[in-house]
Amino acid sequence: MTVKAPILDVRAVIGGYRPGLPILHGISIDVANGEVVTIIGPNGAGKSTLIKAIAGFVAVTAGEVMLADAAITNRPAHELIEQGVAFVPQRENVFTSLTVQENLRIGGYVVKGELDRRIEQAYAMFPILAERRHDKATVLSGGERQMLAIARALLPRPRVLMLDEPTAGLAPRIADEVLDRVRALAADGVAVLMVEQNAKAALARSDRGYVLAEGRNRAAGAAADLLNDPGLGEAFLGGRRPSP
Amino acid sequence: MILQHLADGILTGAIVSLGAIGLSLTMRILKFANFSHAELLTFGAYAAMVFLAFTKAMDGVLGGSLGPFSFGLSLVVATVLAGGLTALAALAIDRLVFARLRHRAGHMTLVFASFGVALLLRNLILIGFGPDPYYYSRELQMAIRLPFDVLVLPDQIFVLALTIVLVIALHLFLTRTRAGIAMRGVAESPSLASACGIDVDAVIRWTWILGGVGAAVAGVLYGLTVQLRPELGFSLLLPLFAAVILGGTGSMYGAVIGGLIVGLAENLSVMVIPASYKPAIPFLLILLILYIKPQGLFGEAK
Repeated sequence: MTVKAPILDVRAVIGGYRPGLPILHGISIDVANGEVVTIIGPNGAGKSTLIKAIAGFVAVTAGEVMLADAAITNRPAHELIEQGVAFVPQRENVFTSLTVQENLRIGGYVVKGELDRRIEQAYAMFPILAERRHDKATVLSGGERQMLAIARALLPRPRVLMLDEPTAGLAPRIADEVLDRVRALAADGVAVLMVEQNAKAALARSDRGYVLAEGRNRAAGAAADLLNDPGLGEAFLGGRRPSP
Repeated sequence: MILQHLADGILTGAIVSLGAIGLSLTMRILKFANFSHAELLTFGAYAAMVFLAFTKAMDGVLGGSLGPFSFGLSLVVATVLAGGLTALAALAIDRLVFARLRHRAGHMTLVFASFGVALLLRNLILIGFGPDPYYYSRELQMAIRLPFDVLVLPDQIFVLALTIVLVIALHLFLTRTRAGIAMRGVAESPSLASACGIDVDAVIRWTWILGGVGAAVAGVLYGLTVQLRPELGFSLLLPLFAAVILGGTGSMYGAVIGGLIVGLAENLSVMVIPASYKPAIPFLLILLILYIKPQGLFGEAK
């Protein structure tokens, strides 16, 4: 699909929460280094299930998930971060009972040796977090929480960053800020795979996109092409707000 | 008189606090009320007694009683060994009972399973050691007279000091170390902790180890100041739960303060009500806190 060799290659994956009741019916996607790829689709399309299956939280019963040349299918979630795959869930994506600093320390759980330096780098990247380093995450705004969740996931310097609806529940201005940050991360070489309901805004900052429906691939292509495809219509691109 | 009851209350509270910390920790991470935790106190106390029989034989090497205390290094070594054995017992119980239910049964099933484990442990100890009380030491101790004519035994002061040291150590562990912060992360969200690279099953094992060691130490300290009976843990069950609920489930500091409140309330109550009603005090405290602040003193409202 992509011109560059994919760093993450999901091949004909079948899986779901219960044995015998698959939600994913043979989905294939791929992401290359430095690329932002967005998965869109109606509710129940299997978008979040797919990203959770890659992240090791949903069982894959057939198909393969490859990271570069290594199979990571059904690897336990806690082993994936050391392989270079980071995941930011949609809900409960920060530890609200811990401070910002402690959240970052947990984010760097697998980092050996230079954790303090990396935490300072995270603060330099997200200055708002530096100001609130001693605050419990429960008092952060929605946007600040999302920044913290992303900063936490980036601490181990992953090769692939997966985000499940990073703008859910955020005000439009904050959502744009989060998506701009995500775009900037890809410029640093990280491969970004995100699921978004806010389809137009997300595709506007993506290189490519996939459209899923009923657990199957429905369309794929350059983000600009998907945005301008009248065939996809409001059902798939009817985001919560107009294009920026 | 009131100062004497206060001093006794703080000392009782220290033991309750120590047991309650372990209970609170396991409740927070494992997400169920483990009624068998109190029996781990009994298990630890009896295990120390068995090890003491061996370590006493080495008194020539370890020396006799330590200063004014009724016990010597032999009991310290026996307690360390008992802590290890109780941790192993806690891990084995988890492997044989709770782990099998964790992913496929509701938390009430785990609670009832813990009742079963509690009955089994208590009756195994009863079969093995009989109903008669045991003592770590029958040496007489001279009480120390503190200001305002408050009398305390040296062993009681040791219990209080050790509790303070262990609480500080646990605080530093949970707030400063990688493993401690990981444990707090798992307590809040096991799935997010997994996404951070934390092996949740390993953290659960460490939780049982810490809970088991804490229970054994609390059991030995209780046995040191009272006596060893198969009902030792059962008699502390209600105070332990009262301390945890008072402090707020999952809060270590809440468990400490809750334990002290339970100890103080029990001991001060005898000034106004007959001593035979003392065991009802934790019940009243549970009712009171559930009525006023159901999440407990240090718990967060859901």
